[in-house]
Amino acid sequence: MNDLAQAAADAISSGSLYALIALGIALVFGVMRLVNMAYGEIVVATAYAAYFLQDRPVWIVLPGMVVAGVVLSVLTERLAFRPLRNASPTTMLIAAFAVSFTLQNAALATVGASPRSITAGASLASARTIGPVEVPGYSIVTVIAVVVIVVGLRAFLLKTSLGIGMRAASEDFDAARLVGVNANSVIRVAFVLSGAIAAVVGYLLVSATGGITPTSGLAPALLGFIAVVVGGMGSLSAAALGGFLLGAVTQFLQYLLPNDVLVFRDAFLFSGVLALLIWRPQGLFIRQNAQERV
Amino acid sequence: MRTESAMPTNPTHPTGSKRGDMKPTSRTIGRGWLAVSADWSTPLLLSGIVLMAVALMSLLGFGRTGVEALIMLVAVVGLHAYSGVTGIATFGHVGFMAIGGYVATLLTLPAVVKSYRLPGLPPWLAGTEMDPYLALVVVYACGVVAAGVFGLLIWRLNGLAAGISTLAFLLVTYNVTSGWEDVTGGRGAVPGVPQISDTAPALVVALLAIWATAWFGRTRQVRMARAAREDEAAAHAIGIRVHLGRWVAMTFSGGVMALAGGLYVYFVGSISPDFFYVPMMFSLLTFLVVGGMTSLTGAVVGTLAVQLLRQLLEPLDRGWDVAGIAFDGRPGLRFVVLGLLTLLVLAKRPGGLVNGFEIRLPMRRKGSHAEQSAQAATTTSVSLANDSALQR
Repeated sequence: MNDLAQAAADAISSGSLYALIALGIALVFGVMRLVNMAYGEIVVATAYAAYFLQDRPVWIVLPGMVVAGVVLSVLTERLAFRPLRNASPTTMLIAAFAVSFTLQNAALATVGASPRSITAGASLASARTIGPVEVPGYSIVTVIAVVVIVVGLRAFLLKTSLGIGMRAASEDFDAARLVGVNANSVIRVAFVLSGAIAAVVGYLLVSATGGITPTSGLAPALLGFIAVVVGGMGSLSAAALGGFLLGAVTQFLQYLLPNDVLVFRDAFLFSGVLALLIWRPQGLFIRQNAQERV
Repeated sequence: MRTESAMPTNPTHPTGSKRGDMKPTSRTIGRGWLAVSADWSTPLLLSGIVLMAVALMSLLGFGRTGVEALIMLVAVVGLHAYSGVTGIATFGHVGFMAIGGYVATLLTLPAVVKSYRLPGLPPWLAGTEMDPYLALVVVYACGVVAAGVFGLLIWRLNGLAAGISTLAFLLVTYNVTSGWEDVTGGRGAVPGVPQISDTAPALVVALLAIWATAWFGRTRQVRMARAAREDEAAAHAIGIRVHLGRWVAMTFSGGVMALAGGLYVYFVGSISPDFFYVPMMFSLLTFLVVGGMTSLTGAVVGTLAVQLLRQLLEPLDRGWDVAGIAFDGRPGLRFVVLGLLTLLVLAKRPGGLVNGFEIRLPMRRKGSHAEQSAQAATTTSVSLANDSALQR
């Protein structure tokens, strides 16, 4: 019973982290149909910001990471994605791959390939006991962060005019522009929010792993991407739920699988993703038909 | 899903309504063998380009890079056979390369190496020491079967979902190859694969791949898949079996990718799951997209150009000291430049360097015009229909 409770606690924490990553990708996808594979590199960049702000108090490190994430995110939009705004989703996806590749190698050329250890968030690594389960501090912070960010995003999207503009733009970009939504500012806001979320993800990641390398961004980006597709493209809540599900299933597989097949956990996970895609190509939490309307 | 590329358009026949345009073009361009050679001029010219590029690389002293470029060429041609034809971007075709690589390894690895590196192999496999070239036949067959089965699984998927499904496939392959210690040797590299790093075998396979894909591109199913790429709904409406065409393309390309994987393993002389993962996939996609996804010419030109550039930029990584101007070099710097150039190509020419153009000899003008204007007509009407939907 205790094991199960522990697995459930791990599932909630890991699901929350994946939900955050998925949100960062889905925000941008919503307004410009871009699957931002460079998101992982933005997370890595915020982690490097934490590395350069080593040993400073948290109220300097965290804002520094947010600034790094937001600036880089907005820069990639301005320099790489804006010229491609009218291109097909496939072209944009490949451009995002190129941005990711460029940033990764830029990190390699400047900071180097060796892992850098980061002390920021190290205090979160120690375990706390809550009832029957023992969880590291960052798990609790992850859950709190995802709740705060989801509530904040919801308020932003429902109450502010920019947020309403964003929702309109993700429904129908052209129609939104016709009724006066500023395309550039809506897209910029999406990238700003996504960059800020990347900083939070970066903080949580380094407090869990304690270090960073130029290639650390690949796994979160891939998982976020898959989470978004599993949940459903084009809806923030669907993407977040998809992320949560992916993270939670990973932890439960870890708990349920016998030891000798545990190395194949990811194979089970991604076979499940494949089966899900075949069963519901439009995503789990999306009602509309996958077939494109003419 | 519509790709960005415009077919080579013919301004004098924008509607393509001239008499005779409706004939099926594959057999009826003129008569006699010359007409056929007009069709086959594309692979012929591409073979020439490949030979020249190989000669250039060996003149520049790029020996091994030339061979690697040829192997990458096989893979990119295989990728084009699926992505270029169907318009579906795939992120996991490298998985078929992995299958090819491991099949080649298991068939050719000396029994001695197997006994200490892969002690868990079943007896019938532990003693097998096949001729590497003969093994390539099995490798190809395995690639075809794997892609055929996978293609059946994703039969009904469209667009992005199909691309993601191949990514899921790659992640499964990667996890299985790095976890299945008994058969694959796990995460570490397995050395001792018979090494073939001569130019000739890679060149022969590359030319074969080009000729086979050119032939494949003219088959009925592939033409139908291309029509579906331009406008899926319209293709369904005129009775094209869209999914069948895609399955055929998937099966064909899987075989070619597996061959590339086998060749790559022979080239390196060892195998590790990390050879065939997302970084390799990204390289292949860059080659294909920079050249132009929708034409065979694009696949060939993109691979050769980027591979050549990659080698020319190498001093950026290594540093130089020429005539008193010294530069330390930064590992990774050349890939920054390459990535920026890729982005530039995407922004300025979303259809790639050749933008859908297929190189061919200028003979039998009438026939090729008829074909081009027919394509132009499709593209024009499609883009009219889609313009409003795609203006994002």
